[in-house]
Amino acid sequence: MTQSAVAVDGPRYEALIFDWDGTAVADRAAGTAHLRALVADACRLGLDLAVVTGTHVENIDEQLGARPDGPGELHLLVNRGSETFRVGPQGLALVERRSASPAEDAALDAAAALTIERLAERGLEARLVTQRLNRRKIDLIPEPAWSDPPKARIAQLLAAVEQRLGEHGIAGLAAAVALAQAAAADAGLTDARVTSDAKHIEIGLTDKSDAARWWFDHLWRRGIAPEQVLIVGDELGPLGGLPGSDSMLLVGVGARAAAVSVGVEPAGVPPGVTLRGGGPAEFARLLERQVALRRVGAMPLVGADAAWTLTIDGADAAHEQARESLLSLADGRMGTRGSLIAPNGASSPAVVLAGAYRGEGEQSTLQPAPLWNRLSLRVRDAGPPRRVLELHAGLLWQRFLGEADVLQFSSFARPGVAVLRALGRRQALERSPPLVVPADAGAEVSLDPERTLMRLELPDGALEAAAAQTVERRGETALLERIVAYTRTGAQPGQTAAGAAALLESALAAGRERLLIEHRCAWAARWERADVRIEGDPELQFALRLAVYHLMGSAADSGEAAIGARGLTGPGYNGHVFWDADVFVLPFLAATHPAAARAALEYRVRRLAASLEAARADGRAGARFAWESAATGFDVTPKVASDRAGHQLAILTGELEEHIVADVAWGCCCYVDWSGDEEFRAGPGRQLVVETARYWASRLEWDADGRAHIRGVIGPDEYHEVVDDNAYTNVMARWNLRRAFSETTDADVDAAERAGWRDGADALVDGLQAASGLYEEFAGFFDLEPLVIAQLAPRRPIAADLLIGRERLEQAQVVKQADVLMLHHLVPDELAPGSLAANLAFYEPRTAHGSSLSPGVHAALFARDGKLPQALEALRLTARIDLDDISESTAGGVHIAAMASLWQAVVMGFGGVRPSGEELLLDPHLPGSWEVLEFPVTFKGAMLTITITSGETRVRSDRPTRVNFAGRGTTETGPGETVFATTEVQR
Amino acid sequence: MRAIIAAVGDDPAAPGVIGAAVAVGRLFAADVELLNVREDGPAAAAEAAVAAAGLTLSTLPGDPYVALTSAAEREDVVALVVATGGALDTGHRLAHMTRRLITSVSKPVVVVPVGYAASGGIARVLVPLDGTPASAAALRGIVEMAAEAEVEIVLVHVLDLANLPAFGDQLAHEVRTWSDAFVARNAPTAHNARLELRVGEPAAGIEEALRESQADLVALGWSRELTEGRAAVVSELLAAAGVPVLLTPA
Repeated sequence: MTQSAVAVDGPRYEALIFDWDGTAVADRAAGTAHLRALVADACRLGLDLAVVTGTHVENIDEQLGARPDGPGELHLLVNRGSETFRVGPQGLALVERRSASPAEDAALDAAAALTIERLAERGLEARLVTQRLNRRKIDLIPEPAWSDPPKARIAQLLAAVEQRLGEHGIAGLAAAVALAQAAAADAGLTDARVTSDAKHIEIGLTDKSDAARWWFDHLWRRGIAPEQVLIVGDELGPLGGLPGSDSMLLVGVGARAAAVSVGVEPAGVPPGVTLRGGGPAEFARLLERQVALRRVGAMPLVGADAAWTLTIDGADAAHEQARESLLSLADGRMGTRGSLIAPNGASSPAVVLAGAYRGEGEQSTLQPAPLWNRLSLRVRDAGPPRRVLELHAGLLWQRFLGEADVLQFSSFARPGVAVLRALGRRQALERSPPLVVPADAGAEVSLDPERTLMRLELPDGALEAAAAQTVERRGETALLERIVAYTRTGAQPGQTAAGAAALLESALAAGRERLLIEHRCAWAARWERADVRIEGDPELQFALRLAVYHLMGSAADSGEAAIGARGLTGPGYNGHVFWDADVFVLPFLAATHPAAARAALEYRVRRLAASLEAARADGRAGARFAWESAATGFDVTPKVASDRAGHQLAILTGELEEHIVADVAWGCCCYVDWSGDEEFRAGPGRQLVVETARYWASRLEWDADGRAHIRGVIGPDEYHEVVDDNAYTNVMARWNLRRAFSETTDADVDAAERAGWRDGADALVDGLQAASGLYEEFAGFFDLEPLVIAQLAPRRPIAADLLIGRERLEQAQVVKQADVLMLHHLVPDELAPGSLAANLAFYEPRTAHGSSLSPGVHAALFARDGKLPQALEALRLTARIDLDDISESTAGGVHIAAMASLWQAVVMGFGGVRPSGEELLLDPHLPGSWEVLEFPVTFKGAMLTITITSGETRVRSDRPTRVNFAGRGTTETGPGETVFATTEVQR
Repeated sequence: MRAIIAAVGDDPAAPGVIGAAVAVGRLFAADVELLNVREDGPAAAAEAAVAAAGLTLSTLPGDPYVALTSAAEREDVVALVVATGGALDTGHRLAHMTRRLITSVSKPVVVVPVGYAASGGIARVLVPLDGTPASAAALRGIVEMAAEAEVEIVLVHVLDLANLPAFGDQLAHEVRTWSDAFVARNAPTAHNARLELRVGEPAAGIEEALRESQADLVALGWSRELTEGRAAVVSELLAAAGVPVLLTPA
């Protein structure tokens, strides 16, 4: 473990953990008025503090007497890591206490007695002085002269103790501690923590390292990384051959924290620790410095963990726009591309609000909102820019060396509020307006002279932005602070957002540090329930984190969430909502943050009326959801487009890609199955399922043999248009009809209509060839020219329509993306048992992966089928789609559904997780190269964490949950942990 | 001052070369210098064309190749205009002299086809881009000049088997998103440019786009190598374009 050396004045830290005796105060009688005021100031300015001490809480609280009011937190980590208290305006609140069992207490007593006895056998008198919580303290030098030695005399004390030990044949303090450790072991304490402050030996169940670990974990949950933490002690160096007591603060989880000793440290300090000396006075200076840095708006340290940061150096015109997409900030309601904050010709800065469209019909597109992220920097004089996106805290940093350092975030705690802080050249910052009208605003924009209020008219309301900006001069430099609030007004019912000015007012009242803290906390809380950990594959790990980051930012968790094909990261696909939202993104949301999944469904619920009208216009019953949807819910698919060969083509997907109807119903049930939201299920959920089923019932065509068909559609394999009985469409329709039947009773729906759903489902042809187990993708597919992609192209993925031309393609068994196989992914229970392997073997080689949605689904299916090398290959491809801009279109925004497919492949494919009724199916497949796969899911309200290693799978749940592991039947798990071994179930 | 050198011979190509030089001069915001490189002085055909353009013709003594390369490398010279063939040499699709010039001069060279008759200024430039950084860099200058001169820019990219895209999620959107990204990567200053896409053999695709766009000038980036197997597109276009071809060294 290596700690970071700290500069003399140090940077701004976000948290500070410090020892009490000898570090913060000289002794227990020392006055603390100044320290108390500093602590209050520090917390008010957002610094988190933790006092670590061996003594009990009353001693510290009485001496410090602080009652800080945040937003920074003060914790007292007392009793050598056994108790944690939070201190607030109302006083102390116990957060956590390690309580020894009676057996542990007895063992501690026995260990202390045995230690004293063994010292006595050597003629040395030692005395048990206290029996504190979870520990016993033995005085090695019970002499009046050394009854209460000050910290400043530590060297003399050590010499006296060692002399005393030596006189009785004990070779120093380390030997005495070893003796106590042996006694503890003999007393049955296998993990005793034995320490010494020179005068005492303490035998305990916990020590300061437990406190430090707890605190670093707590900080992580507040979005603070270890490198943003300062550790201060006075005994970090060795003492009497033993590690110093404060060295226990140097725990592995905080390895990147900076550490300072203000002690005497007669034997020096460990590598990476800065020795400052100076005792409590120097500690006070350090704290004063941190307070001062915050008062002047100093920038926090940039996160440095490569597993959690995306760093882009320089400005490469060829890749700039794709990078802007990857670096985007989003809060579920608004998205801001991570553009260079200074003018750049290759840049495409944009701010978009979810669901804020301009134009109508196929012309509808996301309205470019006023830009809050522009500064008038003089980049030609600056060094190459550096941008760092901190995924865990949702922060974007930009550095233009010599010109400005900039911190930006889009508040995850207050969606619609964006914050920018810049420290740099005064002239540049002073001439930077708070809001800039985008070049492609294309709408009536009203703007006040100070550029702090902006309004753009939309077809269904308006988009408002309000900004506040201050520029504080400091000679030739200045601190710019900008807070901007965005709202949509007059949109759908229930979306009557407060005006932008009111939102801004509230943000201003919170203040810059509280805004930052609550934002980091909000991101950290989401990560807590979404982070997927893969040990053994750092590249994949990072790609997965980037995907989860963008997925979490793509959907609000209240109101409605219109999740476009590129999320909130760019203007691509006009922000239109496809099946991507329902069958790719929604499962991630349902399993990690059900409220966001509910908001995504609310988008569909609010467009049910339009879908009913669309069905009626087509002469159908029920609801015909639009293939491409925007504000109104009516179809906005373009009717004509140019292909890459320069041909104008009719676009038929809007008319014929009807499976969207069942996809919406599937998304609805996916949410219900994961969340157990009975209120939604019985209300709008049931309505969605019923109306979509009604559509299918009216869509069936019956033949003379009594079989039902759906003719003239496009399935997910869009290489083949206007086909009959597309397997995906038919089986999804069948599933939809059956689900509607099971979700209703004759009391809800007319019995004859329900019976019609059941009969229609049973009569629907699905293309299954009984002998082979293959499903024919559509009627006549098996008669087409048999081709596998390897015959045509040296690589996949490839746009096969360009490779062999559309005419040949239509007559060939070349598949764009998972079609039949998509059924195995979504509705395996609707298919013939055991049919996955045969269909995977047949269709995968014929699949061009001409859609970015394809590789992830195949990775999931290969994993489920136990073909892990193929699964990993497809997974790696999926992981690199945006990072390597494989599509050469990431400039328009990240492929949010492909990112969701990456999560699905890992969690549902390799992790083998799927809800089924009241139980969670779990059938993991761990590649040999992965040491651990760990992920959280939220199932029926239970918070589960699933940890998969090669030999076992651990399921930790906060409440009783039914888990079916590897098809072995239902196991009641939780609260607590259940271990499923490869061959047997262990609890 | 910026200058364009046009090599004018006593041959039927002279009016075309002069007309192209004048048009390209406007695009480059450069003066046009007409140089006669025949040792026995200008003849009547060239003189008439020169007079019609309202310009004067200078005669350079000595070896024509040496004289032209020397003139082209002057600091103020931004481009050289030559005929595909004609009086400088005859009997080949690409004259020996022209071949020597375009492969050795480090400045952009405009090659004017036989029979070309200028019909006014340049209203539209076709800029083929193969998607490589080298191609984009070579053509950046002409794209910027065309944008500055408010000349319509038609970019063309021909997808062959080697550079077919990986994905085509939703045709109507994907082509537009991909095209926007392509332009941003390869011609970021061509704000109002139109991108034409073709699939197949590059030269054929460019020729098709040229015919359909009715561009007045084709700008190609190239490596100045005409050896076997290199610059097939350049060779094809020089032979078939029918309009001046601006060759810009990469």
